[in-house]
Formats: sequence, C-alpha cells, structure tokens
Amino acid sequence: MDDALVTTRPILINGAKQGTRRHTTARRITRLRAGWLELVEGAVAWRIWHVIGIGDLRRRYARSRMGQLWLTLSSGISIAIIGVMWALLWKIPVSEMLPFLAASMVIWQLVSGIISDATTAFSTSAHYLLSQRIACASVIFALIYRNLLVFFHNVPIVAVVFLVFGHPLSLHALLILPALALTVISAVWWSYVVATFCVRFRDLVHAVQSLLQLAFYVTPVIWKPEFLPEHVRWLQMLNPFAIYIGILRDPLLGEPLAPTYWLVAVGIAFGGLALSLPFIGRYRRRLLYWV
Amino acid sequence: MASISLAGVSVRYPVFSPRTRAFKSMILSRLGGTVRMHDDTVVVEALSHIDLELTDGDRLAIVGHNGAGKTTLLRVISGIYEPQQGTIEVQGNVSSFVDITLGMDPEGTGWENIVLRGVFMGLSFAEARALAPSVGEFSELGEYLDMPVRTYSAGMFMRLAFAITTSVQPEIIVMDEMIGAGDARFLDKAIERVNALLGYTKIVVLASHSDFIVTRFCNKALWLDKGHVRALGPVPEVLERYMDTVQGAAA
Repeated sequence: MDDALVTTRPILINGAKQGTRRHTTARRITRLRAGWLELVEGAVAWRIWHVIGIGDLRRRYARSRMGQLWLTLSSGISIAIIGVMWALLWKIPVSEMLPFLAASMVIWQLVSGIISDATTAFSTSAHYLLSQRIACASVIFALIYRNLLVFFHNVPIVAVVFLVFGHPLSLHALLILPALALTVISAVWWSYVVATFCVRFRDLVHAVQSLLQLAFYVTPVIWKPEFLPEHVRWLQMLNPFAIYIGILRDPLLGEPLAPTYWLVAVGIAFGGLALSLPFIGRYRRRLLYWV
Repeated sequence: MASISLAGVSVRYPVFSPRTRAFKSMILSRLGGTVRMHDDTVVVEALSHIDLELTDGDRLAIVGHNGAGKTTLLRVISGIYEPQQGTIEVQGNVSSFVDITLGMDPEGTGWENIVLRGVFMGLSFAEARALAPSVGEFSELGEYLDMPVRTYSAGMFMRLAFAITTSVQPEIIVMDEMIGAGDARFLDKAIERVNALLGYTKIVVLASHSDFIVTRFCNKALWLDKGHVRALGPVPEVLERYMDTVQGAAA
C-alpha cells in the first residue's frame, strides 16, 4: 500500500508566504495515520473551508434585500405555524409546545442539514478538488461550518420564543457546548464516510435523503419522547438521531436527561472516528477518481 | 531547490456506470487511454509506467492527443491524484494554474475576489489584502473593482483572475494550456508578466496543443500517447517526431 506524507512548512517568497509541499508515495504509512493526516491537512486549510462555507451562503441569498435574514425568517415562520397547529391538535398549551418545538426544529435542521449536504459534498465540489490539491476533508469542514452558521442564525428564534413564553434558562443550558462539540466530531467522520459512499454509489444520495425523511418521523422532533408508550421508549437509544437531538435540546429546555444519552453520544463520536480513520486514510485520494 | 521525480507511475480510472457494458464501446471510441474490462467495470489506463525527473530550470511541455493522459499527469504532479503504482516525490510548493479563476465568486466585488483568489493560492487574508492594491493597478479595472464581478465582461473577469494569479511567485507551476488575458493592448503587458513569473519559477510543467507556445516557453518536451511516454527530450526533436505522426495520420 502506497500512501502520501504531506508536510507543510511556511516559507517566504517575494514577501508572500506559501507552503512547501513534499509528498511521496514511497513513504509507507498506516491507513490510520493517513486518515488522521487527511483531517489535519483539511483543518489546517481553514481559510479555504471558511471561504467556501461563507460563499455558499452568500450566493444563496445574493441580491435579495433581506439576505441571510431569510434563514432566520423561514425557520421562524414554520416553527410558529407548526407550534400553533400542534398545540391545537394535541390540546397542549402553546406556551408549552412552542419552546419545545423551536429548540427541536432548529437542532433538527442542523443535524439533518449536515447529513443531507454530505451526500453531495464531493460531487458538487469536484471542480475545486480536481483543479488543485485541496484536502477532501476541507470540503467536509466547509459543509459542517456552513450548517453551523445557519444554526447560529436560527438561535435567535429559540431565544425569542423562550423570552416570549418566559421559559427559564438554567446553568444546565451550558451543556449545549459539549453537545455541539460531540455533534461536530460525529459530523466530521460521518459526513466523510457518507460523502465517499455517495460519490461511488450515486443511488445512495437518494437512499440517504429518503432515510432522512424517515428519521424525522421516528425521532422525537415534533413530538415529545414521552408521547411514546413506556415499554418502547428504550428504542430511542438505538436511534442516533434521538441521542443527538436529546443532548442538544434537553439542556436548553432544562429537562433532565439520562446519562446514558451522553455515554452513547460520546461512544458514537469517538468510536466512529476511530473506526472511520482507516477508511478515510484509504479512500481520501482514491475518491477523486470517482467524482 | 525544487524537484519532481516520478518512477514507474501508473494511474487507472475506474469508470462506473449503471450500464457499464453499453458504456464501454462509447468510451473506447472517445478516449485515448487503454480501456479494458475488469469485473464488469470499465478501467481506463490513463498513465502507465511514467518515469520523469525534473529539477531547477526545467520547463517541460507535455504534448499529445486529446485523452493521451496530459491532464492526468498534471494532476499527479499537483498532488491531486495519487498513482496506484510507482512513486512520486515533489519538492517545492506547486501552484496549479489549471483554473486561474478558482475560488472567485461572481457575487463579490473585484476587491473581494482578489482576497478570495489569494486564499485559494495559499495566502493569508492579510497577505492577500496587502497584495490587492498592486493587483488592482495591474488589472486596470479602476472603479470596476468596487462592482460585483458578475457585471464584468468575460475579458475583464479573466484580466482580474490573471492579475491575481500571477502576483504570487511559486516554485513550481503546473499549467493546462498557457494562461493569458485580455485584448491586444493588455496582451503585451500580460506576456511580459508571464515571462517574468516563469523566469523566476524553478520548474514549469505545461500541457499544450500549441507548438508555438511549446517552442517559445519550454526546453524539454514529453510526448504522451495513450498513457505511455513516446518520447522525452529536447523540444525540437520531440516535437518533430510528434508532428510526423500527426501529419502521417492526417495524410
């Protein structure tokens, strides 16, 4: 197995700093290490994924008067409508349903947005990847970054809903930070693996998108976990979406969360990363023949 | 010192298609590489057993028909493709001029695009911004630099891309066809700029269909044919042999 070793060292040429790249297939390194180096190469090129991530959003809202305010506006409207409808249908007070729904929907949009974007990550970035050496991981980081930006545009909706309905925020809410960190770690390996499979087997793009639809219904996003009959509630522990929605949402709502959720989330994030690094190391350049 | 060293480099593409077999005849007629079937998948042998040594001062032209493997070889040297066989070692920072507009955003202003393009060329934001005034001046776009790039004519857009791309001095440049920009008046300036840039570049690898460009800028030539090296050596000799077969095929 031949693999590349890439080291970057800044040098000055005509006052402009550039990296010196030395790569050789003669150096044999393990797949695990190659996978790790791929993620590092992608992360170090933060300017590239920052620029790609921001550019995507900017182009989407270019020339519209309200620009990216539309992100906040469209989520806000659907949360308000669904919240009121649900409260009427299930005969729950709006003041109870809407805070739950606002937090739920905003978080679901983050999680599902990342997975949905991952299906086409490499095929839509083919031009970048084939025109100059850019780590494929940079494209993955760009899509996670973009979805996080959308998420932070939506956070004000949750804040406004909480304020209007006088929903208290305890110190517990700070748990959102480790929850987001775990989400990002999971998103990195999961998106990379999904994006690689989807670029090789194009049918998977549609399969994953359909599964995502399905996941929306079996995950407590617009319904509360306690709506499930008690004897099937444990099934939620098998649903990674329910785990991540749980650790992201329940701190905000101030609802107690079983520690098992956190344990499973940590297991998914780091276990998945460890398992996928050799995969990433093996396919990180080969996937370019498939885009 | 910069160097590029390839030993026994082979690159095979799998071509996947839901209807692989029907696809095969189409590829056979279109592509130059050696095509064969492998477990129901079409495999194109884009490069086979390429040996190449380049060092400071080398200006290599890659010539050959469409589909001969020129772009694949450029991608291997740029570090995009990693060959399945053989070894490659590149010392020195490689700058790809394959798409000199890479990273530019039509919705951004000229100034913003200088920074965007600069970032893709490996500059920091501060470095790109520091470079902006001289790039803006060279591009002669004046007040247009405050306008979104989508309002530019194709020529103006290329002028800006050219001005940014040629403002950073790399050690190794990889090009698919010679870059250039603009109308007759700007062209002289552009040629002067390219000459200066290439003059300071340690290694240049240029794939080109123009024997004028090849003779003008290169001191070595590599003739690729269906992924194999047919000839490697001084430009006049290689070009002569290549032209002979081109004319032979036409006659």
